[in-house]
Amino acid sequence: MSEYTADEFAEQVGALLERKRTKMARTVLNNALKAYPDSTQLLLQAAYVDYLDDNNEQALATTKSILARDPDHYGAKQLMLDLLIEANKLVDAELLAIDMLRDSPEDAHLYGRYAHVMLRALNLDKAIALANEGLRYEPEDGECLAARTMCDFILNGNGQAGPALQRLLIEHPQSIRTLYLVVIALEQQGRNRQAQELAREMLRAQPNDQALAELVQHFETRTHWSMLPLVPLQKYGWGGSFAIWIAGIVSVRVVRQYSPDAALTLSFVILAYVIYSWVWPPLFRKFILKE
Amino acid sequence: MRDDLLQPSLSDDSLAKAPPTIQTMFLTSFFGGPVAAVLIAAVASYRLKRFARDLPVLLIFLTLSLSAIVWVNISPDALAIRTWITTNVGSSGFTILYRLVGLACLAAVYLMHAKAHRNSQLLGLKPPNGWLVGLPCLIVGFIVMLLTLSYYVANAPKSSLLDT
Repeated sequence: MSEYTADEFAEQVGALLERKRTKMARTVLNNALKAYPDSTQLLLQAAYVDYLDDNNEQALATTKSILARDPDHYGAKQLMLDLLIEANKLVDAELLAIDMLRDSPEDAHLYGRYAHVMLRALNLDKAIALANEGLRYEPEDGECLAARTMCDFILNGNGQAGPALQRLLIEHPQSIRTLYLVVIALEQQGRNRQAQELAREMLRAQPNDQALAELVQHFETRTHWSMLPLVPLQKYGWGGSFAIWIAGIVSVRVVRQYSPDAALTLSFVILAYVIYSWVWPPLFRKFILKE
Repeated sequence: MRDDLLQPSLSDDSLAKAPPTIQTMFLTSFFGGPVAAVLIAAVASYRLKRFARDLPVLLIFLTLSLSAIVWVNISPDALAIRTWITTNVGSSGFTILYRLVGLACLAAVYLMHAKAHRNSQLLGLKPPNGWLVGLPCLIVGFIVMLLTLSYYVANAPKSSLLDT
């Protein structure tokens, strides 16, 4: 007989998961499931740990087994929805979201998840409508506010977030997702240094997060001194590239009329710049990743 | 509760996919000209499941861009432009013009799909292989450019861009 009840084990695991200690949570769960192999709560937590560790196939199998026993289990359905979105099974995800919303028509979180499905399906109009609908029921819901913020980013394209991001910062200032969205806003506004600082702070808080580590590397690449010549391309994107091509072609032709040698040198400089812009950033990223 | 929002809107056939990246579209349009730009835009429209809606606009872009090239090349009204290009750019004026019109065409097409591009970039959706979709468009665009070029070489009016 175990010294803890299934509920007590679940409480321990819940506390560990709150701090993203998935390894420790898994150890506790292994012991707990030996004592209570049929506990739905523990099985769902095991599936959630697999989901957090990107072991989605195992998570899906466990979630399916829970739903086979209890088809109306809300937590299992929610996890199934996340797994379907992650697996890009958007048609199934939509059907499940609708099914859940018919049972809980005022669940703002579900509207937010459904909006996320629509964003993945590139259906921006429906994503906006769903996020707005969810916010009607619960104006401070983090999922809907995040979905609405992403919609604003897509609509504006310049990092100018609407009131949704402001509300997200007020209601969920500690959420890693909120900070991610702020980083995106800063990057879209061309404020790479600030975005990098924030990403570093996030990584300090969650040093085991691989996605955050990659985000920091992304900004370290963008803000490194060797990328200074590429600032116009970073700032103006393909518009900047277009302008450099035109300026390059015209300037070489104009200079050629006065000095063919200088025009040849200028052609090589422009060509070197173009090659540098294509080759150096990915090489640098690989170099940093190696480090 | 808005019941219209709870109607399924996705099916395996109607599911939009990420368009080619801007990099793929830019390079395809630059090297392949307006024909390649319209073709790669058509690929994007097809993946975004809006091909039928976009087709008339794409055809208008194609017609306008090719007309602009012909106009600059042969119209007496465009003599000043031709003179400027010939003076500053030289003998490759036609190909450069063809490429620039391709990029202008791409810019117009991008405005049509800008939200979808931003959406797929933000969500990290996987674009198609740039070589697989870009290269065929580029080759077709390049062939059309060569055919147009050879036509002008044979029939170029005096003072056209190929007259230099």
